[in-house]
Amino acid sequence: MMKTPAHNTRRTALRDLRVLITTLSLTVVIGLWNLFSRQAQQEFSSTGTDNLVNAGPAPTGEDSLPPLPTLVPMEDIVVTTGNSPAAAPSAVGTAPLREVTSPTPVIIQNRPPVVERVQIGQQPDAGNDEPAPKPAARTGSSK
Amino acid sequence: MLQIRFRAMGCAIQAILDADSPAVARSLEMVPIWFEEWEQALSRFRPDSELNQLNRSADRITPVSRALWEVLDAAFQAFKESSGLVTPALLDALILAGYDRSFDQLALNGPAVSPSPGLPLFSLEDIERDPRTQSVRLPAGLRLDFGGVAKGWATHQAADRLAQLAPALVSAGGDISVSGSRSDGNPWPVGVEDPRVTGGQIELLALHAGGVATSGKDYRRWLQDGIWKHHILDPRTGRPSASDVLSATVIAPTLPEAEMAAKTVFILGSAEGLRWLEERPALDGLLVLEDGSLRHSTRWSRYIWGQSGISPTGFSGSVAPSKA
Repeated sequence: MMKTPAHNTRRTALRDLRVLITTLSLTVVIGLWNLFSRQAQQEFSSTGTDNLVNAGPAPTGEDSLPPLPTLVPMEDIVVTTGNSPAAAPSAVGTAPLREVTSPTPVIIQNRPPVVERVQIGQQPDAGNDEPAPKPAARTGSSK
Repeated sequence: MLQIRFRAMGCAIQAILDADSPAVARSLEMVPIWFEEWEQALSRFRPDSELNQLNRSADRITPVSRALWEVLDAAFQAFKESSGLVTPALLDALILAGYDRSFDQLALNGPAVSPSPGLPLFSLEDIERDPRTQSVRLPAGLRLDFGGVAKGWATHQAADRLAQLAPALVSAGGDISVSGSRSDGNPWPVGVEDPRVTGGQIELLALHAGGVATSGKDYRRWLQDGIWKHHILDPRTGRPSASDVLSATVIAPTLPEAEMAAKTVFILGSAEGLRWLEERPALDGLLVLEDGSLRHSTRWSRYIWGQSGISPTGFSGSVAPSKA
């Protein structure tokens, strides 16, 4: 069957339409993805963190170490410790890797205040040998 | 001896009763409820507090609760005795200095506003009060912040209520009210924090009764436009006081008096502040200056733990208030 110019034009228009629909679909998918992931992130940061504490390892000088190498030839990598810049570089292959612990969320419970027993110090003139008692309370700038 | 600890009014509260029984424990469990009630009436950080409702009712006669009325009365008293240096009429100046939210929030996020000169300053004389109907009319533009006055009043009230059961000590963020000697007749040991050293203690005091309060710029301070600001404003300038005092601790017959006096001495500075203290025999004080040195009033040593001359009765709540 002969292809007329009108037929070719119709096919070209159909292809263009497909490209357009595909592009729009991709754009919509990416846009919605971005929108919902941002909403979820905002919800987490506004509500979920109130009672959560990052109970991972406490910050130490080790935090200044470079990230652990991945997918990189080990023999090409040397690291220096952040705390001792003058120290000789050591090869990763021989240096022990840092131990890392994934952060564990801990729920802080707002417990009602509890009445407890306390022991307050002895007489003020008990003599020089007697150590000063622990104060019942301390005055200072409001905390 | 039983104790309860919790947070209220933006600070750590501690209440101790020198007795041990279920009834005493039940009374101590009431203390957080009392503070919650007072905070709801007196806090400027709660949008629906009675104080904020009053602040929004400018130029209208507004009946107020007994707590707010009494604190307003205490604020007038402090204003008079400090010759206007301690005033609740500085809320807008305090906000412009950057103290625009509770200190816990401020420490996290920093101030939201920038300083602005030319703020109108009000006198308490501008407030109308009607004791018959217990109502108040604030002039337009004036908003109140009771700050330490409310805390001192609440702490004193709590100690008074608990004292009906046993000797009591109540502390609110380091402002301490003592109802009387402990059951064995001994005083309460009270430490004075060292503002120069975290966790340090300058002095151990022996208190039989009365109040002790400390005003300082070592903790409630923040950085605004590269300049350190603190929460104690000098009403003469409307800005954070440029005092040479780092912290001022004052012992007085009652906590509200001690709170007023500590703030006054802080604002006046070391030389004038000590003179002001010496003119008032019921008050004694210890100052830590910015250069790290210590100054104290001449009678201060009578409260140091272990020193001779401590009267078994010490201060009593019935001692005449300090003269203005």
